Amino acid sequence: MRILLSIDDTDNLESRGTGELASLIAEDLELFGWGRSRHVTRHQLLLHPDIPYTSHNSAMCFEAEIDEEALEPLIRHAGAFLQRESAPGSDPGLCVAVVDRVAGVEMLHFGERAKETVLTKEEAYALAARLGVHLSEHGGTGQGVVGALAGAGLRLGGNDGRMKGSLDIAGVMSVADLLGVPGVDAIQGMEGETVAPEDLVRVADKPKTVMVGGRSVLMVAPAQPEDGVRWQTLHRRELRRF
Amino acid sequence: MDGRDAAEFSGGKEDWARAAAEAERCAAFVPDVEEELVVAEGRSCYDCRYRRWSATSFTCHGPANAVAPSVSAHPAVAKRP
Ligand code: SF4
Repeated sequence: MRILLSIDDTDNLESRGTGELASLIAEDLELFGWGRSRHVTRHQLLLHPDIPYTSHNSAMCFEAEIDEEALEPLIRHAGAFLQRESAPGSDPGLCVAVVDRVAGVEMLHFGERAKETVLTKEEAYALAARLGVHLSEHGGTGQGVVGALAGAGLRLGGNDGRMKGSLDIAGVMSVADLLGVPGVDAIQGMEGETVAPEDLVRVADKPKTVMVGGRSVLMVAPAQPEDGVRWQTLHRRELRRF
Repeated sequence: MDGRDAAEFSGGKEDWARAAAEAERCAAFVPDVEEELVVAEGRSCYDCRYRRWSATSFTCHGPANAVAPSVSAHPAVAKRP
């Protein structure tokens, strides 16, 4: 079964990031033979004085294909892990959604609202109960359940977030070769332009992919024509809207 | 949160040069985790662990003694009323 596991509010100014904890849970999932995980994504939520985030208010989410009997052990493991590893003063939340069982539109709508308005724990728990989604808190005020559910909703929508980590490539490469790089599902122009397999792309050091149409997409923009190079990858600064 | 009187950076979220200059002369700069970096080249307040994003800019929550020279006293930063 395909699941989404999303966490939020696990860090403080000195601790490891929420992304690292998400990656560690994803690694454990594979280590225990429960299934295979894919791409950890970062989802920006609302920045507002009434929301008690540490410094950025972002949720981290990954997708996994797991055995059905692994679902409960995974939820228990992730919950205990967050309880143990989250930073002092944080308010961690965990969401695990079975993709085929949830009403995606409602979850996505919650995620979109969490980017624009202040939502409460009560709203998050009520929606999770209605959709049959696991939602739990693991310390502090547990406020992270809002971001955890929102992160899963946004990931389910497939058009939000940047991938955690960067690609270990640089130089000039063809689109066809770039599509063979692990972590790249597609290549697309920032303005929606399509690229041809033989097109050459100038790849800046350690580019990052973003989530578009449920895929990990390497965004490019037209390059100054030189040596037949048609495209160039975008700097992180230009990917902020994802 | 250290409770000191946080001041919002008046350059907003896209004054790349000024955010870099501030961080260059700040003794407290600590790079944030990879997924929170928006510049990822050299130093920038935008990439600092101690910046707390707001809707339009950020406030610095670094150790007061270390950042005071570069942020609190710098004209790039406007004190909240
Ligand atoms: S501690 Fe404050 S002033 Fe110093 S680099 Fe970080 S955000 Fe900028």
